Amino acid sequence: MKAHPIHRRRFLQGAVALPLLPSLMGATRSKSAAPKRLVCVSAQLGWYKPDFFASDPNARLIKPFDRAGLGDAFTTISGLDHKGPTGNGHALVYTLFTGQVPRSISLDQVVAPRLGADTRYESLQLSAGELRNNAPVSHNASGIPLPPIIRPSSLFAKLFGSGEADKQRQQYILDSGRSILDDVAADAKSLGKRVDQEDRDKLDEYFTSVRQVEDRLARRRDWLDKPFPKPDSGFSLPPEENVAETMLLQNEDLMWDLMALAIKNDSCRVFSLTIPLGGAALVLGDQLMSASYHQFSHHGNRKDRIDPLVAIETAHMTGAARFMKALKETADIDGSSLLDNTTVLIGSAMADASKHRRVDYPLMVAGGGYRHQRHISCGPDESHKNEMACDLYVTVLQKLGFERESFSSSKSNLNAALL
Amino acid sequence: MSVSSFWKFLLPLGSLALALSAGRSAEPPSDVVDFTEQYCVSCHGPDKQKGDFRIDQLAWDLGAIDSRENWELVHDYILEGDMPPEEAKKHPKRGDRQTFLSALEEAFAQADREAKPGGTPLRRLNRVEYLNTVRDLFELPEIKLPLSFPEDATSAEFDTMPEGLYLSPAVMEAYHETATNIANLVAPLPRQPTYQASYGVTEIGGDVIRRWFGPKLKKLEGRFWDRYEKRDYLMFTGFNNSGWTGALWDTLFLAPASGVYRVRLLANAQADAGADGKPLRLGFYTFDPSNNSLPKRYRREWAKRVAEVEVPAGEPTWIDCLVPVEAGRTFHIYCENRFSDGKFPADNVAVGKNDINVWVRKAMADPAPTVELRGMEVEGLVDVAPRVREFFESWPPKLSQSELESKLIPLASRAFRRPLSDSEKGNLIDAVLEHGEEAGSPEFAWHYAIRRILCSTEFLYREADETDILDDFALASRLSYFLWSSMPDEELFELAESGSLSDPDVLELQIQRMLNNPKSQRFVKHFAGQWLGNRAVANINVCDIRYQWDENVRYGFMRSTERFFEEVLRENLPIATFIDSDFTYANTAMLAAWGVEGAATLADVAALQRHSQIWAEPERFSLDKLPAGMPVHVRDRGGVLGLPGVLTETGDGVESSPILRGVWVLEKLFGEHPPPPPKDVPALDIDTSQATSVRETLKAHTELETCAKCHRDIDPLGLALENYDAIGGWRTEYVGASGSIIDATSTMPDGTQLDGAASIKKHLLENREIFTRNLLTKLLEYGAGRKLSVGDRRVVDEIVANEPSEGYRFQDLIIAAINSDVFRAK
Repeated sequence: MKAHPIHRRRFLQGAVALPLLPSLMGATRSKSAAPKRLVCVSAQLGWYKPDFFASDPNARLIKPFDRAGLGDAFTTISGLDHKGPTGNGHALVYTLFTGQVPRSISLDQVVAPRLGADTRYESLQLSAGELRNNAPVSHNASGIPLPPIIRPSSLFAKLFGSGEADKQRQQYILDSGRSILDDVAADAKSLGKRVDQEDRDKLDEYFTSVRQVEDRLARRRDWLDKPFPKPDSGFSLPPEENVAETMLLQNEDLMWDLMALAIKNDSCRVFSLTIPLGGAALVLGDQLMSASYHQFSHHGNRKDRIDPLVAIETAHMTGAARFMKALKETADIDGSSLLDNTTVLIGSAMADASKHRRVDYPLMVAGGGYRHQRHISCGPDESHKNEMACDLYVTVLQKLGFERESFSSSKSNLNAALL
Repeated sequence: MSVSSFWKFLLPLGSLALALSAGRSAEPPSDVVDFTEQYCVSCHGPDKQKGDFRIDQLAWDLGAIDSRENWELVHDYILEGDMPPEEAKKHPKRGDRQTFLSALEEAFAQADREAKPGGTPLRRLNRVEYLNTVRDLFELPEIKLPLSFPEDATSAEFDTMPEGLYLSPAVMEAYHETATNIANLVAPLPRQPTYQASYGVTEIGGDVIRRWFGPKLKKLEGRFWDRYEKRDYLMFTGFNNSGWTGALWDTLFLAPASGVYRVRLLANAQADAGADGKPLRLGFYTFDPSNNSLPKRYRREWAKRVAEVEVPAGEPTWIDCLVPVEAGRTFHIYCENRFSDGKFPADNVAVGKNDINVWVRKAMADPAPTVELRGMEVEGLVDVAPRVREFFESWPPKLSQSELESKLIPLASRAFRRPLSDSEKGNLIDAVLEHGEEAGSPEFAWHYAIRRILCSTEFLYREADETDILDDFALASRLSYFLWSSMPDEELFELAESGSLSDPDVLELQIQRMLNNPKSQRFVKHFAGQWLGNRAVANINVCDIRYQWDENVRYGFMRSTERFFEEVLRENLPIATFIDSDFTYANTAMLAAWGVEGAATLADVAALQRHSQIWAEPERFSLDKLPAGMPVHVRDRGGVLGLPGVLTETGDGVESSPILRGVWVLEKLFGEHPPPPPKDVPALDIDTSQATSVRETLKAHTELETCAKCHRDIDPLGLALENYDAIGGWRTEYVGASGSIIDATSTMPDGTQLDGAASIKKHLLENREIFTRNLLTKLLEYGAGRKLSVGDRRVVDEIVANEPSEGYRFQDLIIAAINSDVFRAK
């Protein structure tokens, strides 16, 4: 009777420098330019800032990147936030990538339709466990929160298929769905005869929508017919899955590793990962911690709470560094590395969880081919006068090929610093 | 083709059409055209469109409400002398003005005589109605909408009005997905996903329990932990009150499909009998883990008991149990008879502020025998859910003409909320039989049938058929969605079938029955939620630095509005109670926020809520006998204007806004809809923390003609409520550097002097037809699903004019509304 070991790290050791298989590149094979990708990560409980910004050479949260040989692949940025309400406890953490206007579209969803047009999934939303407050990173164009995948096994099934029976069932649902939509559209003509002209115009919405959904089902059917890639031989899911809050770090590890695989086999190019507010004591290594993640985050500047908090956050960053290293060591179709074409944004709109303050977010941009310089300071008295977190997103959008001069309430950018 | 061109096409057909279309001739009479060309067109014509307004192309169709409202606005501007503005070059003589106004008024009167009530455009079910309908249709309260199911747009005053009910591809996709999910529940396809796993003690004791039982986690300290972590088995606490402490079996298992799972337990009882003298017994409870936050979802009263098993004493043995679990759910196990009832708190309220762990430790330290567990296996599916067998009587289902006639057609008829025509029946049955044939198995046929019904226009759109007066089935539907936000029940269907529902006496009894049914809670939630602003309060971000604010306060605000509304409804109180009342509602968090002497602090309330997982319900306060310690301002909180939720809706959570408040009072209580400010006028930026400027800033409105017309009505109402801060708390001076004393006096355009909320209430009580018309209009717009037409307005006028001298009571007004031609016309 023993706790099941969690050593997913091995798989990446075995997979170092694995070249990207052209057969997995799907529709982009013929294109010469490497595709752009975006990964948006938010920790709902924030990051302990004295150890986050690389301006301090001893910052503990930076060490995993240095150890992974990624010292020149990231920039931490201080001095930016949404200039919105400063209070509100945890309520507004979900606005990190939407800007200060609550319930608006998040950055990943802005780019997903274009960056994700050629992949099996336009975008994937992940969370390292269950969310409280329905506050995931991603929001669609109507500002509706997009439910993230919280089970590594569900993500695994999405990436590598879930067996022949499941595939047949999905095929049936998609095929019969299209014929049902045909049938109901034919039936609807009888309603058209029983209503007046104004309502007939209104009914056109129905016919148009039915046709579009038929097209969407057809697209999903096409992808279902294409074979799923095989998972790396070095990777396997744990025999039993446990998504208890206690197991947040273990599940997060799996999410990082599966996300690397998804990029390597080009199943998806746009991701968000939410690291949720942990109300339970976490298992770190094989030890159960003495208090909950949330309790540690209210550290009150006591060392005996800051140290375990930083240990948890270091575990998050270790996952991020492992993920980025895997991308760096894999060649993209144009010979550059996957990391060069993948923008990774890590941050939190909970700027100081101990006081619930929402001023001066911890933000990091990594990979993506930016002019990285470990740290830049923004603010009225700094060399970069920017103050809005969304300025960073404008630069990211431009780097990803979007001709955008603004995002949310921002009309400026960080091009001078990062491009 | 637009409506008016449609009519033009019919014109030559005869004098009937000619008479009907008289109000629709495209050209205004010459008296109107002459006047507008002389005095209006230079600023509101082809060259300039001041205030975004162009008069020479204004549709002249006074029987249509949009056109009518525009011309009424023109009429009022001229009548009150707001137009032409002072600086205009030409001003009309009194006689010209009178000719113009008379011509307009005569045209209005003519259009009124011709207009008929009715004209609700085609509308689909909204999100709330859709969910309630599928749950009622299949009698499956477990049905959930996918989280990606789009919200309806909020472009109309109520979400039952077609303006916000656009059917986009995203909505259609959600309909198809939900229909498929429901078909999976009702008629599962062959070859469902399977699950098989076996677990040891550590895996079972996940999450919180892991802390107490996990043998390998050595960090735990103290005597208590040492005692338990050395065991290689788990013990059921038998303390079932708050699930998460009595439960086993955590977040490992999630049913991949609905059906029966075989659960095997390696277990033994420590004695032959529990507290009730019977063998120790384990109960299985299923619940939806995505429903609630972690501790809350384990509450046993929210779980569904699905199976039980007795555990023999002696050596551990494998015990089999068949456990039905719906897709996406998991289960917990409790020892049900370790203790006698009453030994431990029965609900969370009784646990109160004590840390629940105190009770758990007590339970664990108790010598009473319990059940020991050493392992568990889960395997499935071994059968379809029992309810599937019950519905189809056998599985796989039978598939034949007669079987479909007896099972499918009644379902389709309830889904369409009307009987199917013979050809509809034939088409559906043929298609289902054919599909079953093609797919090779009867499950597919039923799966197809359910999806086809749920994706059809007959299900998704309601009361669609073109007619003057709704037939009984359409009436049953409109009535049911009005008061229950869902499809009609069996009794309404039967009355429609017999053709007696439209009898006013029958209808009145039905309305009373429906209001007494718990489903009418949805009318409270959705009608009051939109009329009195709860939907906005649910999402507003309040500055918790400036205000005493947390989620318990928010809950109190929303529930006190509902409770207030509900009392007026259930007790059939006079509708004047909405204007002023001798009672109000508040919960403990609101009392804390109001600084009531001796009240619990917000932190206390929050702690209690955390432990009990139950929100503090508002209680009723009689305003004439308030308990000691209550601040004086509570005494004046009668009526909806005293409800803090209402006052919060009109702010941004930081500052109060006299303009938005004024607009709110006008729209929600006076029933007037000031047009939105024209695009070419910049918004005033009011910062109430710099208080000297509030009145000064608003003064700008009266100085600019563009603003004055509307703001003369808006601003005085807002200013009279300035003693309420952004969350409806009482204040006598503004915060900020100036700290100036608040002046809540103002003057309405008719000269009425206002001073505080009481003066607005007084004005409304003295002019009660304003509020009666307003509330009746709101009920009809919500229920009939349209902005009232010109013909509807005439019916409303009659009901208002017939108000009894003691005033309408709320249920009576609802009955009058439903019995009116507005509600009963298409």
